[in-house]
Parts: sequence; C-alpha cells; structure tokens
Amino acid sequence: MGLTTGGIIFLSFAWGGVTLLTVYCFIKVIKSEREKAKKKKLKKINK
Amino acid sequence: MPLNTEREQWGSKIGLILAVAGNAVGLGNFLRFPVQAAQNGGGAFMIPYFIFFLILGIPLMWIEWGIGRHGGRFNHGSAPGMFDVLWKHKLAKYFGTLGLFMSMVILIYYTYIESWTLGYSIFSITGYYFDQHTADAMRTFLYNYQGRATGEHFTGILPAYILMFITFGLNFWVLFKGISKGIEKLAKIALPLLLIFAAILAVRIMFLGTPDPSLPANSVWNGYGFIWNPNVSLLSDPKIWLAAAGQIFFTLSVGMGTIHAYASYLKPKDDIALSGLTTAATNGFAEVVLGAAIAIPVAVAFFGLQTTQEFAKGGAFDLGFVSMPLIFQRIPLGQVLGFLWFLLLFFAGITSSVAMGQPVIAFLEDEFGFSRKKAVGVLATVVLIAVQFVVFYQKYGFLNEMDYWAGTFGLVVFALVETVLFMWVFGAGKAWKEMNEGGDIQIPRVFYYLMKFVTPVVLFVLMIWWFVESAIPKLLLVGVPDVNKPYYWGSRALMVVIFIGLILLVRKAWQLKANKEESN
Repeated sequence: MGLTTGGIIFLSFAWGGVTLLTVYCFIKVIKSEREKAKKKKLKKINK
Repeated sequence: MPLNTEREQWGSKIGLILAVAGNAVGLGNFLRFPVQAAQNGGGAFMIPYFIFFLILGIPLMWIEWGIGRHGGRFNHGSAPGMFDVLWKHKLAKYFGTLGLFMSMVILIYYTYIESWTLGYSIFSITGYYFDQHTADAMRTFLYNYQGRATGEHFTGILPAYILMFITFGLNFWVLFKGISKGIEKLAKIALPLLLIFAAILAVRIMFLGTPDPSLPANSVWNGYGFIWNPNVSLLSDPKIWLAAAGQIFFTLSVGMGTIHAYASYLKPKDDIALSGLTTAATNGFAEVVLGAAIAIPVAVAFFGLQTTQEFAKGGAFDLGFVSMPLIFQRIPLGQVLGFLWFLLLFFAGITSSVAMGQPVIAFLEDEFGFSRKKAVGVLATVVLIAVQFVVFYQKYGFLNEMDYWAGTFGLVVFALVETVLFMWVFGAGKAWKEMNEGGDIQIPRVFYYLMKFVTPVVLFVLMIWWFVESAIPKLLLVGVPDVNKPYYWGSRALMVVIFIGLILLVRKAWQLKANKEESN
C-alpha cells in the first residue's frame, strides 16, 4: 500500500498546517508578552 | 462582587498556555488517537477529525476559557460558581456540580493508570518484561502487574500499589505547591520534555523502514499510508464522523471543568483568544504530528496491518502496554526507547491529572475559604480512599464503569450544558465580547455562529448517539458477566455518593454565603 500521492498531499497539509499554526501562535504569544513587558518598563520609567 | 485581587495568579502567559496544553495533551494523544484512527478506517477518520477540530474543538476551547476567566472575575475557580454567575437561577450552581464531579472521578482512576506508565518505564529500562515475546505473554505480564492474574514476575499487587502511591504523592505535592509554583512549573518541564521524547521516538520509527525484508508489507510507510491515505468512500459511514467528533472532544480535555479552573486565575483583561488557540494547536501538534507517527506506523512495521487493527480492537491499553513493549524488545536500544515512551506517557498523564485536581481545590478555597493546604488535604483523602476500590476491583470492571459514565458520557453532557448556558442563557453577544476582551487576536466572526449553532447541535447529536449506542446497553449491564455485576453496581454507588456529596457541599457553600450576606 505505502503512502499514495493523495496520502502524501494530505499528510503534508495536515502536518504543515498544524505545525504552522502552533509556531505562529507561539511567536505571537512571545511577541505580545515582550510588548507588554516593554510597556510596563516604560510606565515605570515615566513614573 | 470584588474583582480577583487576592487569588493566586499564573507566573507567565507561556506558563499558563503550557499548563492548559499539558492538561489537554494526555494519554489520549498517544494511545486513544491511534486506536480510534485504526478502528475507523485510518485515512477516512482524519478528514472528519480536522473538520471537528475546527467546528467543535477550537470553539469549545474558547468557550471554556471564556467561562473560566469570567468566573474568576467573581472569585469563582470552579463550575458551580461560574454557572451561578452566568445564569441567575438557583439551579445553575447544581449544574456546575458536574464540573467538579467529572474531574474528581476521572482523577481517581486516571492516577492509577498513570502509575502503570511510571512502572513500565522502570520495567523498560531494566528490561524486566524483555522475556515476554508474544502478545498473550505480554498481556499476562500486564494482568499480573495489575493483580488480575498470577504470574512469575509479580507475586501480588504490591508493586502496582506502591507505584500508585508514588504517583498519587507526586500529583498532590504539585497541587499543594500551587498554581504558579506547582502546576506551572511542572508544565514548563514536563510538556517540552514529553514533546522531545515523542519527537525522538517518531524520528527513530520513521527510519525503521521494513524491519523484516521477507515481509515487505510490514513497513512503517504502510503504517503511514493506513493513517494518511484519504479513503473518501468510507466517509458515508456516520460512525466514523461520530468517532472523530468524540476524539476531538477527548483530546482537548474539554467538558470536565479543568480549563475553567485554570482560566479563572487570569486577570480580567488578559488574552484568552490567542491562548485558547495556542493550546488547541499545541495539542493538535502532539496528536497529529507526533501521536500519529509512533504507535500505528511501528505496529504495522512489526506486526502488519491486520494484527495492528486487532491490537487496536483490544483498546488503548493493548496498544500501549502489550504491542509497544513487544516492539521495544525487537528494536536496537529498545530498553531506552521503551523508557522514553512510557516516561512520555507518564508526563502526559501527570500534567493532565493535576489539572483534574484543581477544580475541587479551587471550589474549597473559593467557596469555603479553605487554605490550599487544607483543600489539597481534603481532596487527597477522598481520592485516596476511592482509589482503593479501583486498584482492588479493577479486574471486575470497576474502573471501566467509572471511565464510561464520568470519562466518556458525562463529558459530553457537561460540554453541552456549558455551551448552552454561555451562548444562549448568558447570551451569545456577551459571550462573544467576553472571549474577545483583551485578546491578542480577534476571533474570526464565523466562530460566533459556529459556537452558537453548530457546536451545541454537534454535542447534542453526539450525546444522543452515545446514549442510544452505548449508554443504554451499559446501564442494563449488557454483556457483563454475572460475577462482575456487583462491582459495576459498587462503582455506580461510589459515583452516586461522590455526586450527592458534591451537591450537598455546593448547597452548604451557598447557604453560608447567604448567611454572611444577611449578617452584613
């Protein structure tokens, strides 16, 4: 049986999609955390 | 009501996400998922799986995060208080009792199963089962360990009991340490480690190719083909769709009150839209990329497709504790790989089981003013008493009965109740605003309609289907040997006692609150 062309395409989309979504989400989380930390620092300095 | 100023808080957003993802990534990702895929046509199963991930899994995640953070605003860390806030009716809090009941009952037997994985990781590294070369022998080894059969490896149930006790102690020690110093710290260590272990195993398995060249059909790629070659012709079978919906439901650990409890420790303006999506995505990654690349491909490579399907028919335990140990005996470095496999299952288990303890602890802290130490002590005592029945009567089906009513059927009932309460009683508009408030992303509008109409309908259909297909026969004890029937009834009696006890506690908590308000 092996992986058919349809299987390879399906697997690529599934793995690619899920991995991309996970990586995208974590990058976004880290970015937003950094921005919030920066804002907090700025607030402290302004005070 | 005051905002949550005195409750514990998460140390970081990443920590919270890892904790909720750790709650979701459990034994189901690596054992239940491959079994479901194998039993439901492999590639055919994956198509509805992804559809339900979008229309059921992600919406339910957001709903539970939303209910949780909203409840936390009013100092409620468990479902009774949260439902009471959503629906101003005296019955609301009693519906919320389901959120305490489900997590507590699952915790009771899950801790025991988790302890097997710890035991098997030790048996793997020491090669203790490496003289068991057939499925029957390996199954006897498992039953011997569980005290269900006599054998040469274990003279009694004592080793299983000690390991259960160690697992139990670890769980409650983490819970005692608290949200940030216990649960969050555990998630930050255990989740990355389990993902690394799973990745090592998946890569190793990928390069196994055809272990026995004289049997070319037994190859890793045939295993991959079985899971991923889309078989559109099977999609007309409603069973495959319902199995996929069920798997999505289990894998995300929704419907048991744990996500609510975790989200209740957020600040009112903290993001939940991105956090909820990240959690669902991480769980999807652990299941679709890693979970799909281990058990089935390697089983097909060593036993062939037909035998793998037979293992799958035997359930998740057969695949995890019978077929995988047999495979580790045949692979170079099998002792180490077996150790990694069972340790990853243990990490997956413990990050889920600590989450199951949190709702009751939060309930005792928030509604009765218990200290964390006292709340953990009370829960630990009750669970320790109840787990004795599971350990000693497991062979009579005690555990299976609890797993069906609390860990299967009850989850869909609770999820339906919470979805209806949040999206219809509390109001879809307010719920939508709640979920998007403070969000680092805007939830696409289409999910508003999915959560309001599609998610409850899918849950309702799932509940009815399971009720007709399995709940009625289970209730009537169809196929249960006569000798086991008293234990099934005993299991039910224990669950009823726990449920009534929780109902009474909820009533008492609200009575105390009413008295306090009156005296003020």
